[in-house]
Amino acid sequence: MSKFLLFLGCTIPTKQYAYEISARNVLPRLGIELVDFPEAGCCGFPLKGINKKGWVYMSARILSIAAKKGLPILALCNGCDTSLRKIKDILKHDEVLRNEIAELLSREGIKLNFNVDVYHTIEVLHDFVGIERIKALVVRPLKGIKIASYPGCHMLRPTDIPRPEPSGEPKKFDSILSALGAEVGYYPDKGGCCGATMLPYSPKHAFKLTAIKIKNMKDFGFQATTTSCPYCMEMLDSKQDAIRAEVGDDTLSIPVFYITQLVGLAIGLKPKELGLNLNLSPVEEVLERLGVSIYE
Amino acid sequence: MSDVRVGVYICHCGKNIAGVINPAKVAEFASKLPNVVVARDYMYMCSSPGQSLIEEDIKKYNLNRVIVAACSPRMHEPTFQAVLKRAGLNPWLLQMVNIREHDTWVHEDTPDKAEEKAKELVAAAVARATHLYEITTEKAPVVKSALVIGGGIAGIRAALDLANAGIKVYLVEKRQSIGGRMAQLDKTFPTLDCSKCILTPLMVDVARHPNIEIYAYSEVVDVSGSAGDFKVKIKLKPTYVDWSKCTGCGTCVEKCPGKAPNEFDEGLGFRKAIYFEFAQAVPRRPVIDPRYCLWFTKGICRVCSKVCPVGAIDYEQKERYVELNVGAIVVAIGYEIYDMTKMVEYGYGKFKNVITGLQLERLSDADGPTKGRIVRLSDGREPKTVAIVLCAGSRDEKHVRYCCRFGCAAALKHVYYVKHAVPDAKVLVLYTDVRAFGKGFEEFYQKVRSWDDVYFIRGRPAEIFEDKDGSLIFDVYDSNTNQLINVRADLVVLESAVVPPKDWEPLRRLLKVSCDPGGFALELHPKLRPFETTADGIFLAGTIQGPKDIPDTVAHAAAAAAVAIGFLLKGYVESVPYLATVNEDLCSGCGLCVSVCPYDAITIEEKEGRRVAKVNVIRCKGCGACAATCPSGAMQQHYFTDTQILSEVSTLAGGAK
Repeated sequence: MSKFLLFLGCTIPTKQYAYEISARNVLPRLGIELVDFPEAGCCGFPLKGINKKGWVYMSARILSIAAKKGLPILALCNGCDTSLRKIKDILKHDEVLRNEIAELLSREGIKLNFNVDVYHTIEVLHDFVGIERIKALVVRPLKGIKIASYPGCHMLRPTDIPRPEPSGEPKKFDSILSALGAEVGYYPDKGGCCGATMLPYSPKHAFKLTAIKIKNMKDFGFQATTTSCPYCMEMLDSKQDAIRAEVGDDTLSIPVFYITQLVGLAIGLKPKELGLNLNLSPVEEVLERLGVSIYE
Repeated sequence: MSDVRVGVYICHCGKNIAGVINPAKVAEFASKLPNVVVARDYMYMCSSPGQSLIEEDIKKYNLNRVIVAACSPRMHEPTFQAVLKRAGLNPWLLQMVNIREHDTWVHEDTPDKAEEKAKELVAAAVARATHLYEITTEKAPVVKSALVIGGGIAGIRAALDLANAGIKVYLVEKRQSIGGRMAQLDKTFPTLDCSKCILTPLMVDVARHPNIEIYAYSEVVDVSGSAGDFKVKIKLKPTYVDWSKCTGCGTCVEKCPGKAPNEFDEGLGFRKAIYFEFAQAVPRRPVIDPRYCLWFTKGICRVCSKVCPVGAIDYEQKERYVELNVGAIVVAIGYEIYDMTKMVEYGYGKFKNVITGLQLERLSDADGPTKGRIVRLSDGREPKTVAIVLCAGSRDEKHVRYCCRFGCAAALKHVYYVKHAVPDAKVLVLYTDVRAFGKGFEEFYQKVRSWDDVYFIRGRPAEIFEDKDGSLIFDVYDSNTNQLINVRADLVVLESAVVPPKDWEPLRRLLKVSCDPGGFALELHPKLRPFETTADGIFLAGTIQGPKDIPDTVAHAAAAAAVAIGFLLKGYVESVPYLATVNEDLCSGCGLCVSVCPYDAITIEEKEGRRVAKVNVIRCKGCGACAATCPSGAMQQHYFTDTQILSEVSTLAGGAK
């Protein structure tokens, strides 16, 4: 049994509860032991553009506490995963900054240590649980449903640090979906940005970016989409109404799931155990095809 | 030579030295040093009267050591060594002292100290001179034959030039036919003449030349020996056809039912399981590909052996080995294109209508898979909009940092291919810079730019996506007009980056040739000796030294051949004077020297029941690594012995008294 510190970041516990609920219910059934990590704060990623040292400090703090616990980190959020791994890389190469951060952490009695492994949900599912094991546990195959994987940009980029999908394409993601019995495939801009980072200051442009993705998915015959990033989820799922209004296209509607929710459905969990009642997109379309009621 | 008689000569070098210090005073100081018989100063020591002065003194005073305090030994050591030779002295009894670059040029502001330094340097040299001894060099004969590795245009040109100079040439080609990349091209820029029409006559010349022996479908597997006397082992891969019986009639190819992807057409078309590489192949002899032959894969068929009129098919053929003895090796193995699937964002390998420039060459070739029709690979339709992407992988820190040096001109040529085949097509050239540097390139560029419906956009595609009909959609930011352009293209052509061939690395290790950061062969000097390598007797021709277009490749190959001819016709190789030399009494045979020698010049041998190091005097280049490493001081280097260096150092440490 593999054991991980469950690092939630800040978006999941404040507005994307379904990801946490589904992860906590699904992963242990796949042989993954999750250990709570209450000492961890925000990874600092939103500070990146305005205060580099602040960002490095916040991620370094999380890494150091985890290193002391001697367990690898499971980051559910694409942004947290990128931030922690990028900081490992920065600390390794920048001696001056490393010393400064070590001094800042020492005030809190923390010893700087970034020798800790960081993994993302997709890696835990694909590399630790494994495709064969997932296949063996499927009791409710997602047969006949064409699902668009939407990795989100940080699953693939930046390429100078190890990414969950090192090939530059969501290959692991699609192989997990295939293992659940779903149909997968190509659509344009699969690896593009959802627009979430633009949302605070230019919602119009952010919505347009998401609209392109949903339109491409629909044009290429997908009936649902899935992601593993709380930001992408927010754009694709929660903002569908706003997006339709912004671009004036009523057809832009698609059920959106977290990958953990789809795995949970396929291995027989109830929608409530997966937080599916919290999804704002029309997930019922898919649940009906599986013969499942959202109220179960 | 117990009676050491030193002459010291201080040069003024006009005002270069005398403008800062007083050479007469240095000479006067030197005249009082031990063993110094005569010390003089003169305006220009390197001039004819200066040289005569030294020559006459050697005879008059019976000198046996000469010290010249002047410029850097890099400048005039050979000049003064010649003086010693003329006067009947061994040239290695000369000691240069650099009082110009090392003294007056850098201490102009403190002339007093500069003069003091000159005196100290001269005193150290006098001390060192006592320990100089005569050095003689050895000569070894050169085998008057050459190996050319690679039968592309570079190898062909080098082989022909060597052979025409009367040298026996062995040309090794890994594929079944010579011709290389140039044979795959439809036309050549900027003149747009047919590539094969100018190449194939040369291929025939190679085949017919009495001094050239071709080893096709062969590889170099071992290299030993040294410059002038290499032993090379060649592996002849099994062709399953006895080429000595085969007449090249082609009946076997015609009747073969097997089907395989055609490598020569860059995977675009199909060939048979027994095949000629291309129509004008030289040698025109077929090869069976056991991966696709029905006899090898399923144990059926054997049609080729049934139809062969001369009984040349031999399914039992094994690989054979040939050993050659050559004086020089010319490496001309060319290049490969960078694996475009590594640039995920361009979708090559994923989308059918994204192709490489080399694939466009095959489409455009009348002898290619589409008989010269340019089509979309997804549906065979004529493309109406074609985007040509320059620097695909080149000048990109994530892929290949250097420039491919022919992509720009090739792209212009590719515009011509498209406009010639589909006159109403729209062509977009997405460039970073158009480097039209060669002869006639700029004129060609201007011409192509002036054509209707040809657009030059300064920018690279962001990410290429495929639409349902196989068309390609992408955004490109044009930095000339500050606009984001949405492109929908039927065909995207990538002018790919260039890398050394995959089999270069093992060959490079056999040849002991260094490489540059891109992996290409490192030349001896980037400007003055671009055809030679750090390994003597091994020469470079064409793109293995770095990306080149055809004119540059041919010039480089001809120059490499000329340098190799000079080396071979001289008839001998001479050892360097500052050789490593072993004191066998002190040597413990530990072998540390063997591990540090970059030239493989040292071996450990049994001698009178002991293991001792032995230096191959022809291979040794006098780098001194072994002498510096030797723990016992058994390994010494001529002209840089411990005694010589230490006497100099201790004099300097003690100061000039």
